[in-house]
Amino acid sequence: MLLIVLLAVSIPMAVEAQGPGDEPTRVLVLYENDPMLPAAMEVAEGISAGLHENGPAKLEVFSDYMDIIRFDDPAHLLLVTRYLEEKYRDVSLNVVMAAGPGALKFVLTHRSLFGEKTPIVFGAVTDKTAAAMALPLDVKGVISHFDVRKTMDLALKLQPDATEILVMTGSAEFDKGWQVSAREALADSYAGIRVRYVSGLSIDGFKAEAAKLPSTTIILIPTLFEDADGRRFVPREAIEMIAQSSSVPIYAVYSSHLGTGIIGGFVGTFHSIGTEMGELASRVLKGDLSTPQLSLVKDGPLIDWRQIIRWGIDPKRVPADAEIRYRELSAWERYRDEVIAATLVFFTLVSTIIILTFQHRRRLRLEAELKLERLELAYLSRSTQLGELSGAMAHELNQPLTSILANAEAGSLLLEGDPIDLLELREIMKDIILDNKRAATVITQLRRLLLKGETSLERMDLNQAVTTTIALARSELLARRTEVDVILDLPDVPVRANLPQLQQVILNLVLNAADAMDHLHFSKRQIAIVTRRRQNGLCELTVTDHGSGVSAQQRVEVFKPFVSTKKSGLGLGLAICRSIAKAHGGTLEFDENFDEGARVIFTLPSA
Amino acid sequence: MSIVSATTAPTVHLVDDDLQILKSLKRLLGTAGHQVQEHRSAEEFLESHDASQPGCAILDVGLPGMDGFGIQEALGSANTSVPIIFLTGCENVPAIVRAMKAGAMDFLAKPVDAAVLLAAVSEALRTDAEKRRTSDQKRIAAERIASLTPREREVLGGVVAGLLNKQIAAELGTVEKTVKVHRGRMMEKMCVRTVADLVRLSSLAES
Repeated sequence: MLLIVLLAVSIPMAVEAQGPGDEPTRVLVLYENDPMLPAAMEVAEGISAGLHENGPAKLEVFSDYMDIIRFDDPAHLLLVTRYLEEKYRDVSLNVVMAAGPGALKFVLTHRSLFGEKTPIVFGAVTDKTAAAMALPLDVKGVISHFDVRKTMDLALKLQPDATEILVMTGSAEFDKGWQVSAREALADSYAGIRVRYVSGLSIDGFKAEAAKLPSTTIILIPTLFEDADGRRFVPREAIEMIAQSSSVPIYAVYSSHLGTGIIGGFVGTFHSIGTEMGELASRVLKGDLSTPQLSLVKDGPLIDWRQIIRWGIDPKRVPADAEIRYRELSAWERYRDEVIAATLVFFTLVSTIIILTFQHRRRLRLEAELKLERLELAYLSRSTQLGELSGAMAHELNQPLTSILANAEAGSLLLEGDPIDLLELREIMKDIILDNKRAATVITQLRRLLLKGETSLERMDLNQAVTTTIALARSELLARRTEVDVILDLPDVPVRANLPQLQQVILNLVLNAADAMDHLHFSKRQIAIVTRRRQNGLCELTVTDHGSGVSAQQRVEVFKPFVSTKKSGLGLGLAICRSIAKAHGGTLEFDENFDEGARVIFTLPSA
Repeated sequence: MSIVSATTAPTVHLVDDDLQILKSLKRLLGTAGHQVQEHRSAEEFLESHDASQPGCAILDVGLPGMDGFGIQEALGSANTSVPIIFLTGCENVPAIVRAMKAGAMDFLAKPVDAAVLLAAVSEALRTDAEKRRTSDQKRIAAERIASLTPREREVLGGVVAGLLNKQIAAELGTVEKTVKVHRGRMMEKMCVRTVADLVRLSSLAES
């Protein structure tokens, strides 16, 4: 992290040309520990963040680690002093930052090494330590207040049933100092709870001790640099070992201990110490004299959520303002957005499928309806007209028939009379003839009715009539798997015709042709429609099929009304078609010379 | 009130808008010996109809304007009971049922067979005559009863109830002799000779 920071700082400097007025701001950060100490690393990160937030644009940061906690003999210190002296002899520093009391002491004592007037900014020093030092006015710092009491308050909030507090400290001088501080803060009883102090044990001894405690105990481990056996530790690692086998929650006062298995504490993080140091340094560099000499680092409850779960502590007991770490979000919490997105996609998918299914069904239904309509259209000459025929016919013909019958019967009776009333008989005959003629008129009128009103002729293209009619019957033909070949000899064949009637004829002929081939295999179901113009000017439309054909006698019979070769046929189609043909001034005939099926020839004059 | 004599010949009324049919049917029925009156519309028939005269009606169902059923209803509401024979060009079961339920005598299809028609007409006229006779008798009975004095009516009641003269006398608070006298006069006025006839007449009047 620091490496990246240094790189970032040096790159802009390399790019810009260094003129005499372009001197970068030089900062030295001196740590009393070694660089791998987590606390030191956090401070370093914080300092970098704080410096770059509001700091000068061109910065050059130097970091040196004194490591005087591990190497606490005077010889080492001497070595370090000489090293630093040599290193910074020719370097003009703008500010010196000291992290930790050891570093601060050194800097104050050997101020001349870094320039007597160079301002000093320190941090990671407790309020007590700072108070015990005589600080010149140009030495400003961020002091930490390790609040053992507030940590215990937090512990009691989380473990209200606690009956004992156990404070564990190591054998190093630093550790011993902490035991003293703890005793000062907590004494033998805090908030009505007994406090016990344990030290002088080996690491295994601490582990054993922690493992056998009743559940109503609170353990506080401020620091453990060395155990009774002289074994040296990074306190974090020592605490981690103890926490693994501990039977009760362990609390700490250093934020850097979080993550080892301790539950937490009331702390200021080292990171925030670093950032506040960095910000303070920035202000000092700007020449801001308004900052107070000592400012307290922000602190608050810090909790490892995994421990809350491990010890079965009611989450509601955790203070609302606590900083929570290691909270394993459930799949829902972690991937909430993804889950929502996925669910939405899923539902969209499902609803799309449902909608499409319904649309498909609807379309099928519509298609079926359409097909039905087309079928009905195709059978126009049968359904509607037949309906009309039966109704009208029945009634209209019934009337003259009734009177004919009554008259005849009366006549029969009269013939029995003596004498026979010849006058009356003559009248009867007249009336019968009259009624017969009436009946004949009815038939004629009916025929006209069948042709749907008057036959009004207009100029049109026979080819077009054919193509539009075939389009109408398409679905029907498709269903019957019958192919239709339309051969149009000329680009257009003008005729004078009545379109609906013309269509009726074409439809009728085509459907008859299809019917004739019902028994054949699909591949053989082919209808050929040909339009041409004869030399004599007549226009011709032929419909050919490959069915069983029509015998000579049938050719005459089929044009008679009520004669049908089909079981369910009514035998009106061709009769009507011929009437239409005649009405157009044309003819409708079978081709006698064709014997590979049936061919019907419809002629009509050209326009 | 006119008294209908049994000698008045019944009239067959024909109602059809088709002139040829009217003419031919009249011819047929006439030759068979019936009195026929033709009408070209329902309205014309209803207007000229005299319910007191015997007869029957042959109605074409499919008339313009008011149809055959309309006539049936009109006659029905006027409480006249002319027997109706329907003639129709098409067979419509619901119509038939409706007509029959409304009291039609018969329902025939065109073209109609002569024998069938004549048989129906005879039946209709017979029914009509029957009904008239009954209603006449009823009327006569009522008239006769109306001509009785209060005392004679009381005696009538007693005789019809099957009481002896003695008992009637006791009821009326008079003597048997007086009762006998009243009884004699009553029987005369009622034009009956037996008690059975008296009972029949009296129940007829009451129905």
